[in-house]
Amino acid sequence: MTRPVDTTSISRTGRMIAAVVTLWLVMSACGFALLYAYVFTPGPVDAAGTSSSEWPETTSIPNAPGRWSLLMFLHPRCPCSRASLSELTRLVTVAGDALDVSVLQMSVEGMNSATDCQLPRTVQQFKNIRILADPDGSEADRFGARTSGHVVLFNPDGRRVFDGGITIARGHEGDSPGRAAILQAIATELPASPAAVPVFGCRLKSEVSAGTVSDPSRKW
Amino acid sequence: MKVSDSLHGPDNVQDHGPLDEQLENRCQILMRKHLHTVHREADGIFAWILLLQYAAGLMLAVWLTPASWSGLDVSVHPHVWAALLLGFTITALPVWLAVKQPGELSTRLVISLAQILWSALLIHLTQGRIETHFHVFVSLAVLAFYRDWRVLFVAAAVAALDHLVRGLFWPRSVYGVSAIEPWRWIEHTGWVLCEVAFLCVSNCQTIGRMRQVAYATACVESDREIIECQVRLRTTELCDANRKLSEERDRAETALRVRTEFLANMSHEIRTPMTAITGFLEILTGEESRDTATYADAVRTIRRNSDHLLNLISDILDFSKIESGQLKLESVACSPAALAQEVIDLMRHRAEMRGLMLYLDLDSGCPDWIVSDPTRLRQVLINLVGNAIKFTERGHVRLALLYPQPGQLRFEVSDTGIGISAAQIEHLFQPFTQADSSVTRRFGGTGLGLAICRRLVEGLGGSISIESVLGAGSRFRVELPVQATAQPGLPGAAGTPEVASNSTVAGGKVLTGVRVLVADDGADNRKLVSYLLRKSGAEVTLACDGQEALDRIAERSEDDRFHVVLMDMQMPLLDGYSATRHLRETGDQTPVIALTANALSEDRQRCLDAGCSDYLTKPIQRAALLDTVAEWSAVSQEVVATGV
Repeated sequence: MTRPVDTTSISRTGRMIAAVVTLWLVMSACGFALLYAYVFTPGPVDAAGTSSSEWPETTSIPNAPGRWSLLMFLHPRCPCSRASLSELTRLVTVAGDALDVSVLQMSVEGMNSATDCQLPRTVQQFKNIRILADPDGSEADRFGARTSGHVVLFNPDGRRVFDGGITIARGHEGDSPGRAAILQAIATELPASPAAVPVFGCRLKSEVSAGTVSDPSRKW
Repeated sequence: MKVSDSLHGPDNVQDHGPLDEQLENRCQILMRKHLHTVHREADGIFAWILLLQYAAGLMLAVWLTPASWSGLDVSVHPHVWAALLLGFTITALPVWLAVKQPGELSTRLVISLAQILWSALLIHLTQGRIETHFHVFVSLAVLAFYRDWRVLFVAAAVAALDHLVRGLFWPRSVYGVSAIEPWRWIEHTGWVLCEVAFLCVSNCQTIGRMRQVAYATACVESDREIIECQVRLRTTELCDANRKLSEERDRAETALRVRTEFLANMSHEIRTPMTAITGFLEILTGEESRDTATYADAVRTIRRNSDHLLNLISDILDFSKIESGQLKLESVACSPAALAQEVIDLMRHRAEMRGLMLYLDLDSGCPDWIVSDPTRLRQVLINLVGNAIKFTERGHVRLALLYPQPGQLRFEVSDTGIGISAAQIEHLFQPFTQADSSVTRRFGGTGLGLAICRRLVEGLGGSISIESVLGAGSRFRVELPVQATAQPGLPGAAGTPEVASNSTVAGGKVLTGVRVLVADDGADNRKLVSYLLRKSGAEVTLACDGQEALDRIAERSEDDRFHVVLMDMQMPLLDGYSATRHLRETGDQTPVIALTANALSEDRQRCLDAGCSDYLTKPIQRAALLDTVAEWSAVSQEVVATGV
């Protein structure tokens, strides 16, 4: 003799499971939304007009005459900057000798020299990429970089033509408006979009010492 | 028994009606059961996969993005929190469902969702590594374990929705460009759908094979059930047959044992009177015969034991006829009161010998004449009254004739005897049994009397019952359905014995001058009959068979013809029936009296049909013999005198 099916119990259990699944989906969606929000939240930028549009004379960074000069400012332990470095190597590959690249690396506790930082080996293979140290971040301040992965491009005349990031999100490689703008600028010898391209990475300096403008969209 | 072809799959099943419908139903049940097992097992596998993914995601996050920096200030990277919290959220519910509700559709759909969400999370945690995207395709392939297209489509739908939503809100994250390009979403989704399509085709093929296996299993189960049913049926039949054989064997053994006991009893019962007969005959032929008292006592003893032996043989023959269904009952007019009186008269002497009073109570409302078998009724009453007298040592025996309601006659024989216990009553009417073995030793008897009575009463449509108190007496009650009738006008009606038991004994030479021919193949019978007749003055001629009897008759002249012929009906060469028939065919009307051992009415009628004038049953009673010969010799002489 089969037991009668308790349809009331089954429907109550079904409704409960449906409610739990719905809650789970909402929580997961919220979690992903927060994750996406973080991923697409750029780092702090200088206030408009605070950075010089000309190659600073006070910098110790050598400027290659007749060549495009690209500077990237890095926090050596910023995980998101791996993508920035990968994009940099792609830029160098495309631009070739026309581009003179300098990577300025901040110092962190426990580091002895710039050579002790953890950089992708592919960067070191490029002979036209210099790795320079910026232990106190003065050069970063001079060029107005606040976020790891910040790139500035100067044309052979020493004029800043690009200022921003070359990744589409934190730690994400791939085609980006920044990389496209740089290549376009090199090809056309015209300045890139005057609007600053977001830079996705860690702060080069702490908030107190940086005195930077916080990105209202940044929540971390 | 129809044995189905187990190789047939569902696509090859012909429509054969209810059997195929049953097989199809069973196939569906087996399929659902198998699929449920597959789903449960897959749920278990995915529960472990999700847990492993959670651990892997956490390790990846810690390894690839352990910290977020702000200058020299370090904090836990949001990816680590995402792996810990979001990863837990994604993992917890499907694992819980896999444990609590394994095999359910909701469980595997949630697992499918969670697996794709984990793909998305892992892609983020690995910072968009292209290799991590393979997780989506691997997940789809593993989700195919469920054999459920809904699971695959849900996963594909989530992947497509993720690309669509991010393409709308964060196109750079999907395609690396700022502008929305719908065809890129279709391209990405298309690859996923392509894999899903192939997986669905593979699933369908697998489901088809599972269905074939399920159908084959259903066929095997059906065949096994049929075979088991047949085996049970045969086993039941064999058991029944064995049981019946066993019962038959037990009955046969019981019957054999009972008959063996009966034969042993009969041997004793027969030998006992025979011992007395032969013993006292020796006395008669010896010196002691000269003593008149001894002679008389010996004769009485021989007579008594002869009667007992005769009764014994009659009982055995009666019982055999009853058992073999050869007993024929009459339906003639008879007087129940006369019957009862006759029985009392017969048994009075026996009762007086034991010092008992014998009473007869007649119901005045009882009909004078009824239709029944007076011979068998008499037999039953004689047996019951005889038993009552035998088993009563002091007091009385009463025979009551009652008519409690129209159409029902009741005889009651009550006594003040030793009584019968309830346990003994149970077996009293069974043949070859008595109250107990001690009764046989104390009172003798064949153990057939009551069995014969019961069968005769039941043959007459009635019933017999007993009430008894041990030590106080018994009452036997015979209930008969009867039909009252008018007094018959024919002579020889029941109520008056056909052969008068109280007839006057022809004393002296009443048969003087009577010429009698005795035809009998038994020398002793010839000697006995001729002695009785000659002692009564008759002139006796003997013949050994029917042919000799006809020769003797033919030798006689008209003036010297026989007055009566006593013809034994069972003789060699020419039996009595044929001889009598021949005699009548030649016109000879000499009275022929049949001497027959058969007392049945049809045997008597057969004698009369052959041409006999009357009959005498063996063993022949002297008085009946002389009366019958005297009666018919008078008729014969009258016929001769008148010339008729």
